[in-house]
Amino acid sequence: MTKRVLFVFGLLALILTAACDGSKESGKGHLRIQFDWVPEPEFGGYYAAELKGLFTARNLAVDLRPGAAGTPVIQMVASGQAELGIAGADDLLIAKSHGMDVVPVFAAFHDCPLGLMVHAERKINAVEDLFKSGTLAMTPGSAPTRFLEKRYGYHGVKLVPYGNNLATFMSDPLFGQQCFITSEPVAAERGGAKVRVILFKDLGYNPYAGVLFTRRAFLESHQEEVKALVAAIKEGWLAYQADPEPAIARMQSLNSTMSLETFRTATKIQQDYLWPQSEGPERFGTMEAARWDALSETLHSLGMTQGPTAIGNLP
Amino acid sequence: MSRLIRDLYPPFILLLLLGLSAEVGLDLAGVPAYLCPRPSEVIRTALQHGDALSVALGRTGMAALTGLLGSALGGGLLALALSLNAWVRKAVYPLMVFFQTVPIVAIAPMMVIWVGYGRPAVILSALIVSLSPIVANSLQGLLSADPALVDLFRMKRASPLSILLKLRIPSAIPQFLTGLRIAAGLSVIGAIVGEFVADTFDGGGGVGTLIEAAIKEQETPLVFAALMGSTLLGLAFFLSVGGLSHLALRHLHIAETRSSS
Repeated sequence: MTKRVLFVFGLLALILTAACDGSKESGKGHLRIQFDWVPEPEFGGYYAAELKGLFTARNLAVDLRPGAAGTPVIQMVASGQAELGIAGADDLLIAKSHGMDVVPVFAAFHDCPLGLMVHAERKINAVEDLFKSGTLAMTPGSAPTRFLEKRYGYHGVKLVPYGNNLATFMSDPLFGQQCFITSEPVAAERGGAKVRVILFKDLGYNPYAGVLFTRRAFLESHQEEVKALVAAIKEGWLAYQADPEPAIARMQSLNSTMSLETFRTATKIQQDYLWPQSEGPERFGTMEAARWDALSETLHSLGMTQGPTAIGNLP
Repeated sequence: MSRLIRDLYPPFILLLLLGLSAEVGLDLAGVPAYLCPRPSEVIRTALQHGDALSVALGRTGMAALTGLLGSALGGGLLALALSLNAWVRKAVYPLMVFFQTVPIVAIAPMMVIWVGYGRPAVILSALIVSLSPIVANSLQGLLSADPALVDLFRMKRASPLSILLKLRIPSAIPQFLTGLRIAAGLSVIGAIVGEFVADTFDGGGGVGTLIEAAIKEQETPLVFAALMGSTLLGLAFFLSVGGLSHLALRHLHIAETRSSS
């Protein structure tokens, strides 16, 4: 019996050792960046930096890793399967409240490009009307879903899970869904629909998006590398805005389901969200502690964190 | 009752050992809870969220049961129809294989278009997933009646309907119940997948919705608790059909008579 118990323990130890293998850091200067989605314009600056040799010029070997629906980016970074990742500011604060010591280093989107997409011909006198009738596709349990519930309440609208399928939207004039401004609205309009987008930021919910983050321990031991990486990425984004075609060609080769035309349209649309429209790109990528604190308060009031969660010192 | 305890004893002991090993092993390896929660934490979370979990399990269980009953009825009738004509069998059987091999996740969004969001789509998902084993097993049972008995019926000038009702269907019951037992667990999986894609969640939601929300909220222990609940639900379905099978066959078939002795 004792031998059998030891065998079970041994087997479990082997599994755990294998699982922990991913936490070994890759070689010096080698940085794995885990994306939360497939290559699309929201990562344009990263691919531009790669193509222009901005990483190698800084003696960095960067591995850009595309994600997919449900890629657990934050857990992957926290467990050491990648050095850096990309996530929304709200998801990072929720992760911190669950004990993951992650720290943001660069925010590609100053303004949140997420919102609600409805048919343009739908008669709405006020935003509240969206929550009184029809169908609304949202991610269950997400911060925007909770935010809208608290602010407006879902009175009469049928809530259904958000999926990456536009068929229902296209066929039902009373169907609305959450969207990424550069993705679903572009696809729906290409399909012949006329859409109206109501951005979450205009409803009072505006977390930083496309946030590059890492583990605090990693940042502390690799400060110079991370600093050089952020500089390269910022330069990459500026290069992408100036001439997106090479990076678009590269991303399209990795994501052939998205047409070149859609890549170009999305690239133009997202420009307004990268840095404040009233300012130039001088402060591009930087974040304000006060905005993180406000988001933390919001998430706490929505019951998504145990208490106000400090993001810590921002770079 | 004593047989049930005897049957449940070995897996219970194994589960207990695995749980204890995981509890100690995860601590020793220093695996953080957000990657893999300890079994004790999962149980604590399940108790904390007992109300939400039981409501979700009830919704999923009802959808799975309705889908299972639908596939039992539809699958049984379809197998009957296929057994009557070889040409129809050859034409329809490949489509059954298609049903079995097509990933339900891929066609789930289409079900929304066919029947709309809500319970009907979830039930349809459970039905599609659980249909194939019932058809395949029932058909095999209907076609494998003892040839000597078929000859005997024919010698006695029994009509085809009489052969079907008095010989083929009774001899297919064990295979039908085997198919139903396999389908029971699958129906729970089908319902959960349906909920991921097609359920409404303004009034709560089933286990699929609960899992999706817990993943988004990064509540890993709740994800595991919901998984544990759905596993228990599948097991309850499996055991119920097993019990039904035992009751139906205990006086009829030698395998059941032996297993109960």
